Amino acid sequence: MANVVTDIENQIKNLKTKAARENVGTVTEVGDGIARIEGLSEVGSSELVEFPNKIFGLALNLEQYNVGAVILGDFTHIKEGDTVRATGNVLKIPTGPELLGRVIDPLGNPLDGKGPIKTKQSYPVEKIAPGVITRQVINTPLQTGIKAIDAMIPIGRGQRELIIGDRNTGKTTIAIDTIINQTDVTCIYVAIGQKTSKVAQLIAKLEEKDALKHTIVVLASASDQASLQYLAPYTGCTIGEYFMDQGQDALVIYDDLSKHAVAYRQMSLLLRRPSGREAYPGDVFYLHSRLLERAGRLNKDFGGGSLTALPIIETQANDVAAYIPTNVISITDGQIYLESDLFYAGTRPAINIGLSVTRVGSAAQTKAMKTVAGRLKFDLAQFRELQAFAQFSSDLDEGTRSQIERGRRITEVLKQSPYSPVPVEEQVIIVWAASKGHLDKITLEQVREFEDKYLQHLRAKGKKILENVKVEEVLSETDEKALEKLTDEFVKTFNHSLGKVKKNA
Amino acid sequence: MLRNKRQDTKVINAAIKASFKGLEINQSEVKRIVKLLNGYPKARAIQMLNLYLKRLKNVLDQTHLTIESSTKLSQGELKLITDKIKTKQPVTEIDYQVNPSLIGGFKVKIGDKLIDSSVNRQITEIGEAIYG
Repeated sequence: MANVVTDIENQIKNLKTKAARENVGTVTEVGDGIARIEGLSEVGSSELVEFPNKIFGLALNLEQYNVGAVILGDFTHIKEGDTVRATGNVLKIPTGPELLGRVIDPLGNPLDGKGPIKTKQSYPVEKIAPGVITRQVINTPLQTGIKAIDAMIPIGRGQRELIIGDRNTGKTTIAIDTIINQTDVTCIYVAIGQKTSKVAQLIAKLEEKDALKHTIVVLASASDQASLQYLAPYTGCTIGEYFMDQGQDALVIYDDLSKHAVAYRQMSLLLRRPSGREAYPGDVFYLHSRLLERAGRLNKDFGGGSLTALPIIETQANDVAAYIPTNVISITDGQIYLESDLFYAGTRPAINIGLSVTRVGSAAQTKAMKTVAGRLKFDLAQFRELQAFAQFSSDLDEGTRSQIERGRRITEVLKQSPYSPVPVEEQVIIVWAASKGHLDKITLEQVREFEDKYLQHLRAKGKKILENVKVEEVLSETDEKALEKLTDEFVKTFNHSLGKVKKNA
Repeated sequence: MLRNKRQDTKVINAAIKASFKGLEINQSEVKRIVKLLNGYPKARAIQMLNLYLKRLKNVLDQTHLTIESSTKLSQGELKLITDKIKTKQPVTEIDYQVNPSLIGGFKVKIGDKLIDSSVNRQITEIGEAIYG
């Protein structure tokens, strides 16, 4: 008891209460999460306002005689005539390592029932993106563990890479795989307007793969108000910025920004802002550009931390030319385009290599991967063209046929099961084997099995090569020779064990 | 439509200016303006009257002083508060109420500015310092 009293005494020791001069207003209209307030003549844009019962709001529309505010809480308790107080502060959310492994709402309140979160710091939700002086070029890779991405569409730490595709094409799976594959990167997964059941499944998967310990989930589900859905990505970004400011690497996933734009549209229409194309307000581009611009890599003088952003956009009927997709494509440093046709044809992850690009990531790719995957994209493009051509002709020359066969094997190698990321050194080896033609002697159906057994064999017999590729990030000539020998031997044994040695092998 | 709105705002601005004699409201002029606005076509008249009354209330509120205290204040004390406020801002109307929920001290509101020196607010502040 004495301790409690001392604690309280300490907390209020330096507190000086005096008459407060406040700027107040009166609620004249309330509904759909929006309040119109008369008064508040000194309130600033995006300033936090306080309604009765500790309900807060954001002043977004500053008009001549009234203020339009979005309510961040249960608006059913607010009534006409209530007094609203300007707080003089912008919205801040608690941030820090205490949030790791937790599920929070966009205001920083815990949602996982694991007790209160006691953080030491709070950051403003809206912040100007780091300037040119503070940044450095992106030169460190962020390994996703997905062969197709790390080999052909590499992502660098500090990059903004869009994941775009129709519903059910594996966009979230790519994001979750990336989180699972991280060891030294803090991940923030922002769920916007999603079903709570789906998010619960994702959290369970992260927990199962022991990835929740380095992850923070910010959840604004479909049943939450538009104001909270609008706020969620900014909260995720703010938490990421905290880690970036500590000199650490952070990854933030916005799943998805289409629903974010829809939430913002709802808010804007209710605030009676003029609408533009597809009824989105005029500043919908700025909504996303100011969010994604906050990602980046700081230079050594500013701690050297990074914030990588993986925004997700859901398209309708593969239409990437719609309003929001084109906006976000133009903001980001590249996109991973997922196609439903490929997905249903069994190519998973269903990445359309031709339409996917990375604008800065290739500079961050390890030398080993760059060497082995250099021609991969080109070869695959050629393969797709030849394959289309081969559909109309029955007899093909040997060269064309072998090119098609190799393309098929490379495509097969790039397939991957969900939630099973592959370490970069193993990716280098398997891509090397496929592009060098070592898989040509394997039947197409056996490629997956070959890959598993080959990597197992390497882990046992080629440990040194794997270690060298991992540490030195290059595939040296000596290692390549040793690998060649090891692979040839293994292919023979594999084919022999299957009894399917080709005549011409 | 836009031109109409601009024109309406101009009319209302002029009407508001005419509705006051110095800081005091000119009641006969207000009555005349209301009658005049009522003469517009119905839909426009509703819109204009709505806008005019809102603006009028807004202007009146700027000089409307409300004092709340936990116990009844003497005329001298009220005068002291009013005089102090008058040095900063013009006051045309004064409202006074006793509000025991303040526990102690008083609250003064003029326009959208509120000066709160009540004990109730200080207790809330202490509570916030303890609970964070």
